[in-house]
Amino acid sequence: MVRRKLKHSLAVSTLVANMLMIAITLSLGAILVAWAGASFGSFSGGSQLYYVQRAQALQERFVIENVFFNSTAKTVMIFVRNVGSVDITAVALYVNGAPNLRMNPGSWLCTSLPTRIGVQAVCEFNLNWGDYTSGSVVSVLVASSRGNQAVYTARAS
Amino acid sequence: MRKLWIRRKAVSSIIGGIIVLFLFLMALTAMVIVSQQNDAYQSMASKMSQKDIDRFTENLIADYPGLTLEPTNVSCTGVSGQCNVYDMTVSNVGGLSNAGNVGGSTGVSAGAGGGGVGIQLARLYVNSTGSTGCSPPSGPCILNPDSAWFSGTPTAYTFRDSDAFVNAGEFNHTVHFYLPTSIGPLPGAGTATPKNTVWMVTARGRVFSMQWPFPPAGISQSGAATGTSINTGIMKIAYQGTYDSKHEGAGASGSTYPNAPYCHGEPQGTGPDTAETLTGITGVTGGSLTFINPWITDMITKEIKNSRAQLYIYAKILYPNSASSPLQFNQPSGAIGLEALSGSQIWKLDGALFGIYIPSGSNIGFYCESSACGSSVTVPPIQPGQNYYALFCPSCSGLGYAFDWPGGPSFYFGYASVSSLSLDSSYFSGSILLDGLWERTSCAAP
Repeated sequence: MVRRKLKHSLAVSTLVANMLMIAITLSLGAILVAWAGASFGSFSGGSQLYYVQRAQALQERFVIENVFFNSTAKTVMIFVRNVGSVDITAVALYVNGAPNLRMNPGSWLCTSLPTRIGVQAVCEFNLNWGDYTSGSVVSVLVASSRGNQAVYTARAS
Repeated sequence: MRKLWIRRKAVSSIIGGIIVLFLFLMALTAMVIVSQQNDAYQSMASKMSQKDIDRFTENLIADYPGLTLEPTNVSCTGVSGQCNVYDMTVSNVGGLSNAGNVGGSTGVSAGAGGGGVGIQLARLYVNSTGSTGCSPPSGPCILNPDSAWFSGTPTAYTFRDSDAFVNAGEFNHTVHFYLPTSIGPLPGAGTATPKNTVWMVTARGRVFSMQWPFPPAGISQSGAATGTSINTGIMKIAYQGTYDSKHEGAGASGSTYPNAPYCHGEPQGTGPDTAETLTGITGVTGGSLTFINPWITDMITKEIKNSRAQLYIYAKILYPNSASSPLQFNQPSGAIGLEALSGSQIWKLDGALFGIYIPSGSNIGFYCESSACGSSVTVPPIQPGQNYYALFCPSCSGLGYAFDWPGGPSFYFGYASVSSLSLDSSYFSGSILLDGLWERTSCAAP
């Protein structure tokens, strides 16, 4: 009798074994589906963000259309025009590589940064330039919030 | 098959298949979404690329005379007082297949070279040197388009927005703009050295510029020994009598403008390099004719003192009496006449020959046509290869009746008349219209 019990090799019945296998398979499948869904969702979401941002940056066009130097008042007038298809936000203005925020208040349109520039609008910066030197070459750079830049090099009159 | 039917793992296989199928569909969906986004991005990139192409296709050039100050001021808003009205002449040669022939009557077509584009002017900047005009502290002048002119009262520091668009391939497009009289006229009208720079900003972000007055081009006239004058062509305007130019030098009688060198480049005298004032001429006021540039005639018409100015066209005959040419220059005794030539030969100019001017050695001679000056004037033999200068009076019936001013017909006194000429270019060097300027590089008072 004891020998017969020992020779019995089935721990669980066939039915229970099948149910266990199904449960394990379903669990693993659910985990796999959840993981894949998250991965694909993240992939497509990141892709969408990437393309949207790239498209917006691509639609940006802005130019520094003119720079005037006033040697008497020791100021520099910088005119930035948005010629793109979307509004831009000018976030930085560099003169010879250094941020120059000594902007004059007054009737000028842009007196601080960041500033929003609508389509076809012109932003006029009027900077104090105490170190005005006639004949010096000045490089002006305007950067937008989307990472685009416009550069203008001029010689002070 | 039978074995498959009797397998007892059917449920697991179905579930596995569903999972695999689900994963496959999810990946496919992600690919479709990404593809759509990429398509949208590429479409945007293509659109912006086309905009860039249009942008760099733009090409705006200024046409002679660049700027013209209208004689009448207008009332304007934005400032106290009135405004000067300037006419700026530009041409849109962007995308033209043969833009090098600007000014020519043929050979320019829009679109054949990749498509012309219309240009929308967004802003003008005018920067002047000197004490008047758009100079600091008032300058630079910034002019935006404005529609207020339509109601009859323009705004200072604006240009007409209806002039802002220049069609593809459009030539001699006029843009009217308004500057307050309080800043004075733009300096340098009638001078050889440009005093003003005009920047034209387009809506696509391009910036074009012009200098005004137009700088001279070319080399010295008559091989000027002093090198102070420039010959850019063959057309001249002659006047008789005296006048006070606004920009005449110090002490000019009646001048209401600050003393400034007058650079019309018409040296006084009769030397080989100062040939532009011809003296001893019978039949003209004071017996002399002074040849000036077409662009200066506007000033003359405003400042003329003897109530009469006459316009003559000064042309240079390159191949007179050429033995190899059947187009002989007929030379009756004592006179030179063109009546022997048909209109299709040497001259296609409508007008009477007034006389001929021949630089010969150190002497400058002026010889009238017999019917104008009488038969007493002797005309020297005309030599092949010699440069001659024939004076014509276009559309006048006789000496002294050309374009009387004031009181004559209303017309623009300078270039408009010149541009109406039709000369056989095979007998002349260069373009008649644009080569008609003589200027000096230095501004010495005459």
